[in-house]
Amino acid sequence: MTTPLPSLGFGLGLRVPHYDYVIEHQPAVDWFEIISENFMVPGGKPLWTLDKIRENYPIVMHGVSLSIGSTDPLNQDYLKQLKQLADRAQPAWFSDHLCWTGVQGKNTHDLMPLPYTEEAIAHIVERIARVQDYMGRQMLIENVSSYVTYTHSAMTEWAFLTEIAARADCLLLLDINNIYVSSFNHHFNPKEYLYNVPKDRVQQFHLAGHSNMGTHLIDTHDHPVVDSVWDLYRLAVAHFGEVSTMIERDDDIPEFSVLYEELMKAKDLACQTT
Amino acid sequence: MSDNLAKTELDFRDWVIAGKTDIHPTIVDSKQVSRDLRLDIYREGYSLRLIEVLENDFPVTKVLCGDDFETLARDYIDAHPSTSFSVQNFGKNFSGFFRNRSLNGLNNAALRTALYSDWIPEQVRDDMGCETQSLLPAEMAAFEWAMETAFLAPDQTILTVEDLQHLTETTWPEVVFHFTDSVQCLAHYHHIGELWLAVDSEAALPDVTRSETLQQTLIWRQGFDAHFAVLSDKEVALYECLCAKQSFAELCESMAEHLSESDVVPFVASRIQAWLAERMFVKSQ
Repeated sequence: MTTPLPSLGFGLGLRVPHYDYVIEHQPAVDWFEIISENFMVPGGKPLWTLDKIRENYPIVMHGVSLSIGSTDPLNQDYLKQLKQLADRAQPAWFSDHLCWTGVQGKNTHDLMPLPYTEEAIAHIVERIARVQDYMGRQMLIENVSSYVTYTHSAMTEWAFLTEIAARADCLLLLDINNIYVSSFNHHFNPKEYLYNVPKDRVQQFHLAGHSNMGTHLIDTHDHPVVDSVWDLYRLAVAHFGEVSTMIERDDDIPEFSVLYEELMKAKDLACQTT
Repeated sequence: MSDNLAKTELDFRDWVIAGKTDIHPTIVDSKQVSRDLRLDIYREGYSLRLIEVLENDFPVTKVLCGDDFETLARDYIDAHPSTSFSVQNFGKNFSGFFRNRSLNGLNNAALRTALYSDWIPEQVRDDMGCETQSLLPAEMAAFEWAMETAFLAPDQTILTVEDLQHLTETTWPEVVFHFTDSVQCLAHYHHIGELWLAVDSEAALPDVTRSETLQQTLIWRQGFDAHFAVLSDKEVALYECLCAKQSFAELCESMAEHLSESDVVPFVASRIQAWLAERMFVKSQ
């Protein structure tokens, strides 16, 4: 049932410092991605803000707490609130990360790495199917940056991701920066990752900055996109074609105009490549 | 679900949250970046992320704690691992943490321990169940948490003056007023509202002042903003009667214990009118 939607164009991650600017100035951004959990609140200004912005822009929902890889049961309260938000925001799609965030009732609030094993694939495929059934639509799964490799991992990250997407019949959010960060940290060729992901499942790209610690990279989302990631993005566009692209910034968030300029750079690169 | 994945996740979580090292043998070591450094990225990232959450949710408590805030935040993170999918709930025990946490041994002068370490009567110490030095940050953390929860309280249909215009002399006595979910009352000794306003407006931090008796501050959301006001004793009594779902007639009867007969109805009516204007009551379905 893989049915990738047409590209939404070029979007930005909607962040608190820009809420008022976006409502007041309605900048020429094709769409916004919201962090789902920021709006899974009882009431108040965040939901009003969402409604106002939704009046003028397509929205996609990006979650950080589904914990699809956790061996805890799926959190029904979380799913209920996620569906309520989706009913309200009417997003073009929703996504979350290929990771786990907590286990046995304690949450790390971080994107924790999974072992690339058949056991993990079977576990996650079954959970994605249940989430998609509950939400009544396909979801997108995003590759995360990682800093460790488990000794019992039995395949590459891209093989793991691809197999899950095929068996769960879900779509993919490819984070170009995360591919680059993980390739640096684990010494693989990022092009090999890109070229082994099935084209017909890639619905969205993420671009972001990271911190270079010399011996390793950390996915901090507090810097502009670096040249190496732009180069990889250029390859991704050439390979996958027109894919909805957005820029994430979660710390040291600059003026809206700075992020807008960065987004226009992505647009220019994509136009030159396709 | 197999035991292997569950054990891997549990061991990894125990490293991140508690520093237990059972996960280490299952992580590949490398020359460029050691296994220990790789795992440290997750453990330190966990602490830094949650410290940032506390800094954002408790900015004035942070000012009061000064350089000791990070130490206290790390202790809180160790003592109260998050059990919610939402990081927005992480600070719910922060005030209670201060009540049970001795601040002895910390360096910070901003807590002004000398100012108030000897003023609180024994009875109050027993009532509050906390060390005297911890009372100010405990009260401020409770205040900031209440303001945050009011800010995000459910949207409800507000009762207006117009909604009451159909009432008659015979129906008024039966009316029951219901507070919105954002309304809450906080007991405290320190004049935390003044401190909070000073920090919020980036003014100089005033000296910490306090009352010899418990004060009650009402917190609510009006529009999209959280508001607060210190209540008089009579307003506290009225607030408690309203929380007990007393009708207007019952309110007046209860308030007669605090006011002269001629003052009861004017007081109750004026307070309810003011709280209506401040959008504190919900329209009954």
